[in-house]
Amino acid sequence: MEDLIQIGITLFVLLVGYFVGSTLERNHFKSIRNRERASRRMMVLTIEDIPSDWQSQDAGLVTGNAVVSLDYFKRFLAGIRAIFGGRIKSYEPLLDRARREAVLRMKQAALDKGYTAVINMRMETSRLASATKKGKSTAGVEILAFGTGVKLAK
Amino acid sequence: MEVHHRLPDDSVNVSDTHPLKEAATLVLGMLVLSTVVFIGIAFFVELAVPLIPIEMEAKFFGAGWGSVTSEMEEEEIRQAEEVQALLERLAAHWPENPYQYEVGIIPGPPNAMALPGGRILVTSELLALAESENELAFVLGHELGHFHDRDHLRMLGRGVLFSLVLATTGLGDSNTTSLLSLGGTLSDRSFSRDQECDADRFGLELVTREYGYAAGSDAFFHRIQKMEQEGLVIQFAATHPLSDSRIDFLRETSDEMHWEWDGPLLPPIAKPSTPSESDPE
Ligand SMILES: [Zn+2]
Repeated sequence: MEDLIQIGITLFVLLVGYFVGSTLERNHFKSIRNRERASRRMMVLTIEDIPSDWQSQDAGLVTGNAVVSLDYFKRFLAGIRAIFGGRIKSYEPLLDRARREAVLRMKQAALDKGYTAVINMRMETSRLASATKKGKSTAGVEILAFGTGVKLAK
Repeated sequence: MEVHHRLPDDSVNVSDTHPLKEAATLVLGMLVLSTVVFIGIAFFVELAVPLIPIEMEAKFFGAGWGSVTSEMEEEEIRQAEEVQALLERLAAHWPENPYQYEVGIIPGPPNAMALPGGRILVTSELLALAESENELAFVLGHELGHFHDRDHLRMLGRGVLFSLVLATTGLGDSNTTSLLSLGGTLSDRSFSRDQECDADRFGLELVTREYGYAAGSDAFFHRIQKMEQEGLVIQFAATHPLSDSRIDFLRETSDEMHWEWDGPLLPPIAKPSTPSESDPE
């Protein structure tokens, strides 16, 4: 009986985590796609130097970052995945969202500063240690996108 | 250099497996894993238990017993002595009996349990509700059956080793623990069901040898069944096979072995001097 109650509670939290998490995820992806479409004229390139036939009037650092955490459902799946090995599929959309959000924010920062493109774009990922479990578990992941904003002369 | 304004990749980085399908696969894998681990452990325990000498068992598990006997009131000590006398009579029909028994009375709903080292706990409500000596004799005989097969050691061994495996392999990390122990609990249930049947058969044999017939052996299950229907007991069904099937099993076994069933019921023993408040009357 106690087992059943415990399993019931776990299942309930899992389902709530799943429904809330997947609704938020769907909405976020929708917003990401809209903003990507809106900002597609802002070029983001990974080249280190601007091509010789381009001219830049201004340049400066631009950054954008996103911090994401897991819902209970994703963490649960990843916990089991850690036993069997293989792709942690439940993390994939989460990190994809974070990467694209970081790039979108960097583009926004570039736009605010009057740049028309970002070159030499790089990404960095770092884990945020959880304060509660003596830093052993992960509170979330930060993804930082940064590059050199340039104002190209047409 | 020419530049085309393309949209970023939208799908290559995300698997298209539905999360719920992924969850179902992983949970199933987990249950299979824990069942396999559990059966492996149970197999090992089966091999190891016969190698543990009885003296070692008694010595090792004697420690906590003092607290049970010291909490017993004067009346419970008298009851325990009466129950013990009946137990010894039954155990006399098991010639190779290697144990020295000790009975303790604890509060709680009707139940009895066998503890390692030859100790048997009987609840005060079991004694208060029993309507015949035969009813109690069968319950004690059933517990003797657990000692005969050393089931208490097996169950303990399985539980301890399973937890140990979870702890040492790191399989028991937070979220997955409940799933693994669910697999363990489910597997354990089927093991203990077999053990209960064997203990029932053994108890029935002792009772038939003592009285010459088995009447009253199923009385305890009828009582539990009634209490379950009235919603008074819920935890019993979880640890024991359903009362229905056990009643049938007793009757069938008795017929198969050509043992006598019918006979007079003897007056109950080890009754409390004041009626228990949980008595339904
Ligand atoms: Zn039993």
